[in-house]
Amino acid sequence: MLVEIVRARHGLAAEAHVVSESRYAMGFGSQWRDLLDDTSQTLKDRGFRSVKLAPGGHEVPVVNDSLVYVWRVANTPKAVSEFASSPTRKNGFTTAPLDPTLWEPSLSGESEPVQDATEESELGPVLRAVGDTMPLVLVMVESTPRQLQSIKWAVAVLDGDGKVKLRGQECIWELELAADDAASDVESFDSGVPVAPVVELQKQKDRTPTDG
Amino acid sequence: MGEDGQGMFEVPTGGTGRFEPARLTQARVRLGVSKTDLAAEVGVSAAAIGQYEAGVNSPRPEVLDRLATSLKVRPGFFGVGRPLARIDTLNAHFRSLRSARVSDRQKALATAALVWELTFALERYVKLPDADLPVLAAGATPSEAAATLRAHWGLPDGPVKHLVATAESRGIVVAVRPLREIEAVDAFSAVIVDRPIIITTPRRSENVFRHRFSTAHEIGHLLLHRDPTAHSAAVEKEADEFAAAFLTPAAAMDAVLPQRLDLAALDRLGRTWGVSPKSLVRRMVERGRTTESSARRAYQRLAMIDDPRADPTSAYLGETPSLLKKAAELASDHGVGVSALAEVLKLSAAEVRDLLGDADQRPVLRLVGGGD
Repeated sequence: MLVEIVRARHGLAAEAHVVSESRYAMGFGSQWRDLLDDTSQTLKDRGFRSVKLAPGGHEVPVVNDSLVYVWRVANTPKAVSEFASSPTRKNGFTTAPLDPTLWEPSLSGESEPVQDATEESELGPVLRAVGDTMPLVLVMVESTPRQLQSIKWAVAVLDGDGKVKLRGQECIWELELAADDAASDVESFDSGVPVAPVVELQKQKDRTPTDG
Repeated sequence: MGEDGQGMFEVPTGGTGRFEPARLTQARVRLGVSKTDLAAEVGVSAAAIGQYEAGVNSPRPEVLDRLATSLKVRPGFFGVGRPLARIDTLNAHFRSLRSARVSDRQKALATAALVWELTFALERYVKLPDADLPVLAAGATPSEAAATLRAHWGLPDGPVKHLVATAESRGIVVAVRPLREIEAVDAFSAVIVDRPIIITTPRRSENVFRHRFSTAHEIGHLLLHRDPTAHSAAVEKEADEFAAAFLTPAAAMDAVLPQRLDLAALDRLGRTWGVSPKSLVRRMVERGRTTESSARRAYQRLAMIDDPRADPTSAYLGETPSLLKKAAELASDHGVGVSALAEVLKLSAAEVRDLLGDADQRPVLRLVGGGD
């Protein structure tokens, strides 16, 4: 679902970039807030809750007692470690868990079976016992107006110096994965050795260029 | 050569010293020179050129030499005794209809005639593959024609591999001619005395995907429009439909096209099937995967990132014409080199090399400004 949200938003932003005929990628980069809103709204439609991070007021969805922050990574080496450079994002690391609910909505869009609700209600307190703040799952989108490159996610942790570190990073979508879907495993048009046209001498070898 | 086309030949019975008016026309229109300009260059009246071409008068020997120099051929070029494909009786298909003036078409046909003459000359020494195109059922649609050709050539499902090599191995002569010769008509095809010939330009061949589509388009003409009565946009559309159906059959595309317009995915798909992302976007519209308006935006995005020289045809062995060159090499190995062919065709050796695709491809540099 996250991949679909990101790809849809990327498509719109890339189109907007073309239509605007902008020489700069600033407009394209401004999709970050839409990415947050798209994710939050989609999850909200499925019954998930969200929190508003002060002071910016960005709405960030909560899934499995974790904040899910979808973010387009800037193309700089320090982008991730500087993620918490704004007060709003910094607050993402200190958000208290929401009050427990009887059950969590399902990502598949169907109601969870009742027995799972019991499991959830037992599991919730265990997770919360780990600390008094919610983990922040950072969904990192790498893209240019030309193409979407990858979507990764990881648990982001803030160290004592205010730098962000990633744990358990995993790639959930990248260019090559999509290639497998679309191109399938057929041999490409340039694979193998071309069947060259066959030419052979005419039988009358005694002809000369000046023959009639 | 079959017998059907014998009527297209002109094999005069006279001696080789006689003047052949059609040769003068051929050499003149090939260079795109008007009668007036040629007359001024060789020092005769424009009417005299008209009379030479009409066969009313023959040029004096000294005028003949000047004509040869002006038109970059040997004086013997104008002599009778060689097979001549009558350019005005050829059926050819031109892509750019609006810009193809009669003189441009004649120029292109004169080039095609020379390519055919070279092929014919080579065939005296080297056997080329016979033309192998299926005869279609009457009223066959472009997609039926595409399926028929795939079956006839024994091509498996999937991408058409090495299209130009495949076409040449089925007896279709493919030549890339410089833009200066056929700029206004772009790519075109003709059947001359049973030999199908496809001529493309660097504009079509600088990118492998465009080159393949263009070649498939012309094969479509050769199959569907053997006896064209009129050049129309509908005929061109049919050839386009043939090319799309031949290179990217609908059933295969339904299985592999993405569900939404994803240009990166289309780019990769195109690299497998040997077609441009743009043609796949068009295919998505045809297959009901996307809307016209989304496709238009996709074309805009593609135009922004498009670099037509990114995938040069020369980098793909099976897409670069090789038939004539191979035949010439074999002939040369057996004592009939370029100079011998030049003698047969009454052209310069450089001209023959050029027709074989061995011409110097470096750009022509000119001084600009400040000349005085």
